[in-house]
Amino acid sequence: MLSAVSTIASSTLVALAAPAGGDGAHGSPAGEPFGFQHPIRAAVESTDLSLAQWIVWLPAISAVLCGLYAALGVKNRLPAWTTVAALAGSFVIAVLTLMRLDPTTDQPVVVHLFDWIDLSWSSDAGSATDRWHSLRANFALYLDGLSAYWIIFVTLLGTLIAFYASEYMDEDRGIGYCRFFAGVSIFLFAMTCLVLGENLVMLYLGWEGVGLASYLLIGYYYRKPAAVAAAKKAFIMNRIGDVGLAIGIYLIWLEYGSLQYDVLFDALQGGDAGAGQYDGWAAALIPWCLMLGAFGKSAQLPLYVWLPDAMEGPTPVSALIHAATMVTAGVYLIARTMPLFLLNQADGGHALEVVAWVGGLTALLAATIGMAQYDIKRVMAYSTVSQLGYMFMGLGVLSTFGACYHVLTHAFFKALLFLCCGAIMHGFGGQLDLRKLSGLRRLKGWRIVCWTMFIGGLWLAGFPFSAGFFSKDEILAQAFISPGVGFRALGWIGIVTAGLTAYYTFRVWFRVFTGPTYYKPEEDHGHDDHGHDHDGEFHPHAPGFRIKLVLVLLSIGAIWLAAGYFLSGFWGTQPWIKQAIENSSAGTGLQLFPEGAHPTLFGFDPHLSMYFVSGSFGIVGLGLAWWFHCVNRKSADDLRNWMLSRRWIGWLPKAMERKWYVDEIYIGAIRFPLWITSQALYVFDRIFVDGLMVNGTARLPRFAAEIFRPLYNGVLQGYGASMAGGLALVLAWLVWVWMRGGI
Amino acid sequence: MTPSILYLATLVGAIGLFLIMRPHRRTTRVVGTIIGAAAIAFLMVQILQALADDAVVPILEIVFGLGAIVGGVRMVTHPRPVFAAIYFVLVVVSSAGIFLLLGAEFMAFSLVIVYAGAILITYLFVIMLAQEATGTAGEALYDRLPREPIAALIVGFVLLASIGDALLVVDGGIKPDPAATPAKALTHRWSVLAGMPKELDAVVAGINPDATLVRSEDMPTIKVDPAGAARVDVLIDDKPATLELPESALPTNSQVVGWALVAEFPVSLEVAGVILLMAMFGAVVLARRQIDLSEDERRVAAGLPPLLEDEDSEFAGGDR
Amino acid sequence: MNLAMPSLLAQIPTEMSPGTLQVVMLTSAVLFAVGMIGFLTRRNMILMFLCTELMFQAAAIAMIAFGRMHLDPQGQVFVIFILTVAAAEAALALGLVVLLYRRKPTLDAEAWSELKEC
Repeated sequence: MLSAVSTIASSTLVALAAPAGGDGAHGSPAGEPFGFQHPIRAAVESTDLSLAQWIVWLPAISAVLCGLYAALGVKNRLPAWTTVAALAGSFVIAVLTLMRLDPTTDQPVVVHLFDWIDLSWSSDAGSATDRWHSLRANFALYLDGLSAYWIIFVTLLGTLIAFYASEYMDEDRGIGYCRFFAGVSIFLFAMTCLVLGENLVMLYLGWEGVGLASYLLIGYYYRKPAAVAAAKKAFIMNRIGDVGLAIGIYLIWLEYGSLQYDVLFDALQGGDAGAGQYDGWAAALIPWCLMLGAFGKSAQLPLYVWLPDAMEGPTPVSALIHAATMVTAGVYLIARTMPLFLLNQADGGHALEVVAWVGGLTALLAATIGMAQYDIKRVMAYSTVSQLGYMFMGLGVLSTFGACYHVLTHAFFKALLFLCCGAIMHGFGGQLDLRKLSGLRRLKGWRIVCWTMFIGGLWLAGFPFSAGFFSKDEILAQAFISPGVGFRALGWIGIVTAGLTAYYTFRVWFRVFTGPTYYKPEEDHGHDDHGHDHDGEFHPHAPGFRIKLVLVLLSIGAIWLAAGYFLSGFWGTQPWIKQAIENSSAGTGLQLFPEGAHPTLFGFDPHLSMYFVSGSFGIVGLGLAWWFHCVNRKSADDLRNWMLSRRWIGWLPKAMERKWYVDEIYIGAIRFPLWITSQALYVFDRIFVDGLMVNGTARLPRFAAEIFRPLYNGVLQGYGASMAGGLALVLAWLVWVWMRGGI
Repeated sequence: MTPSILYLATLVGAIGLFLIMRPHRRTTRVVGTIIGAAAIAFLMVQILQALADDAVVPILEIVFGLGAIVGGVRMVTHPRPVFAAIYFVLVVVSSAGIFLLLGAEFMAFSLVIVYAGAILITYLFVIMLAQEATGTAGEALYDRLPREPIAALIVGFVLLASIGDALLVVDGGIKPDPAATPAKALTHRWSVLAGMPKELDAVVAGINPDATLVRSEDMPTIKVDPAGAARVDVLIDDKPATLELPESALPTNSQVVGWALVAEFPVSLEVAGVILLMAMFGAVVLARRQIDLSEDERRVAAGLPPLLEDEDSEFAGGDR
Repeated sequence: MNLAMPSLLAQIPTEMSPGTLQVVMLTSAVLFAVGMIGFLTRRNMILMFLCTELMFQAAAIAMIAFGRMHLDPQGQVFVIFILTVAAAEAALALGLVVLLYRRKPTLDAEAWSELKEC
């Protein structure tokens, strides 16, 4: 089987190399495995869809209003209702917009809002080569299948989670409440700019805007040192990626002359012979830079460590920003600029393969860490990293539909899971440790949380016929089909990870909801105003109506996503999503082999066999979790102790609990050398720059003054002596030089 | 005179002055006086030796000069201020003599009157007033001890060496202006007389009561020939004639200086008057100014430590 | 050597002998230097001013000698101005001395050194 893999890989590489030395136009003729089998159609500018601008403006208005409420000292829930109304309005408009886009064609629409950056130094404005002498980045919306699809779930989840937060954040009503909802509104505004922007500058604007909102909301509990540190960590880690994105955008402008998607895609399809003026080195570099940006924002392997720490923020923020929407911005970026990656692939580059492998390895690594964590929110955070890894894997193996579909399903079930965790945290005084929570199923008022979390868990675990099952299989199957270095092995990594995912998800669920009822509040939780009786005993309070409503709605959405796979027409999900993605710039137009002629898995079409393979892995993982954490609860600890007692395996649980020491490695490999360097530079600065150069220069006059100071003794005769001495010297000089003509 | 001789003499003079300055030792002061006098005498002899054989020896100038120098040195070194002031009178009188010898008799007498008579008396008043107030009728210690004499001597005698070099050594010493002939000076003096019409009329009338002076616009009224004889055109009984003016008619030195003051430097004269007026105002303002010493300042003046640390305290006095 | 005595009140201008000039100039220079040294070495404020008067005196002698050398009355005119300045200085300086003396009962100039650099 290995030889078969290598044969496929080498033949693909030959096929890849062929169009590289082609006729200069990057578009490949039909039948070639890579390139643009379907053309990306030029956008039309339309005012019919100008309603879509309110998707962007409503959250912005809401943010301003929330700021105003804060200034006015509003103490009620007005900020929450303002935000929910604005986001709901955005969602409705997004749905209307999508319905007015024709999903059967791939006609993107540009809605021009106002001129933002519109520079031109061309002598022949409007000509074909004009773009080489201009910089255009107007505030305009680019509406196609991808952006409309993306904005719908972003605004829907934003609405639901803001509604949830209106209850969750109740204790902070007042200025903190306004601050929170202003942050959420800013986030939604930035996210809509990011997704709907017509050019890469708007994408970058939104990119930085969501980063800012993320920073503000992670650091919401700014009195808590851990939250502040997490906010800084997130911001700095994102900065590393953002540098890559910024450089990538500069290079795109240098290389293709435009930042507008429309012009860019036109150029990529050979619309302008002027493309590639830097002999392709920049073109080869662009995907790597964009990839770095995407990895930073979407918490992939080198830069993922900020996301688990970001759970210090309020749980709705974790659900909305750090699970459902913002972290998928990297996926959106790569999906949006997929043509650049395809070009790179066609020219023999390996950017997509790196994306796939980074995604797969991140998925595996995060899943292994998630297996050993005790903080349920942290488990969910690592599961988010892991699922994002799947999405990047999907992009890398050219299943952009799979990746984007997984984004959608993940957004629902992960938001659901997080909100359930938030409900538990809210009700149990900040307790998140699964060792201190047990059997909550039997508590009054927790049934809805229990079963909605069960649905979310099944969906995350990829249980057969759940939405996660379908979207994940789409990616995993494609890994076995697409040619690429070791993609088959990557597929197996993904399948194993699916099993691990099922295990750790249900480890949480079984531990928390089954078994004997037992709970203990967090020792140092700050909610002393509730939950305690006069006798000091802790009483959890069940979630209120709004939290339950949101959980139920999200469950319904998740179920619909699964059911939609089998439905067709308006209620069916998969066909139009597939169409929307494939017709947009994210579409690869991939039809590598005639149906049935591509590589197989166990003798079947991988899409078919994957249902069984990944399904069975998921069930096995679920079963293990059931055995260790429900039926025989002690066995998990026994297994752990047994492993710890054996030298050959003892390191494994420890390393998993300590998150594979990645933070420690970063501290040792990056922070410590930087600290040493900074200390050395500090000493250099203090001794040389400050001491010798600055203070030394300043002391020089002082030392000189010490010499001359005795002359200024304040005594009249002293000054007289100086004056007379000077006069005598001048006179002597005059006599000798002037009167006598030289000494 | 060569520079080295001058410098040597200057050095010796400095040593002499240094010895004179030292307090307490009469012998050293005598030795210093001898050394200083020798240095001055040596310089004088050097000057005289350089003169032509038939040149007039300026004996009186030397005498007055030495008097002035002795007075100056004593003034500078005397431990008692009153005596220093009185030695300054010797300086003034000696310089007045020199002025007289140099044909500036008006300045000589005004010097004696103004300096010795007015300024010095003021000084003496103040000195005595201060001594009366301090109770140091005798020699105050700060009057006896010279302040940093070596540095001062170096400065002073480098200055002296430079000036002496410029005056006495360079180009064989300073010489009288060859262009300043007596004839030229005479011409100038006669022109001063011509600038005083009534005086001239009186002179003419004194010579010949019948003569009437003739003035012309484009010719000098008094014509001076190279020999120095001065003539004026007159009408005697309506007949033109020439009168020779006698030497006694020549304007005196005081007249010439007065003429120069009013004719050539009127503005400077005015400025000098304003300066004197302002000095008077200043003296009045300064003298009227009351000094209020606070209790603490009086304590400090009396050598006691101040009672209050804070100088801005409301109890602090000071100028107001 | 000619030891003839000059007439002290000669009205007729005559040429000046170089000896006279040099002796007088030497006197002037020595007086100036001595006055300077006195200014620097005396501690008594009044005597310091007196030493400046000595330097004025030296300058006046030099002025007269130069006037005589050029047979020009301007030298004497300048001495009048020097006298003016000396008189003004004496008035103001002595007024200041009295003023200072009222604050600190000493004439030592070193008692007044508030302008010194720490």
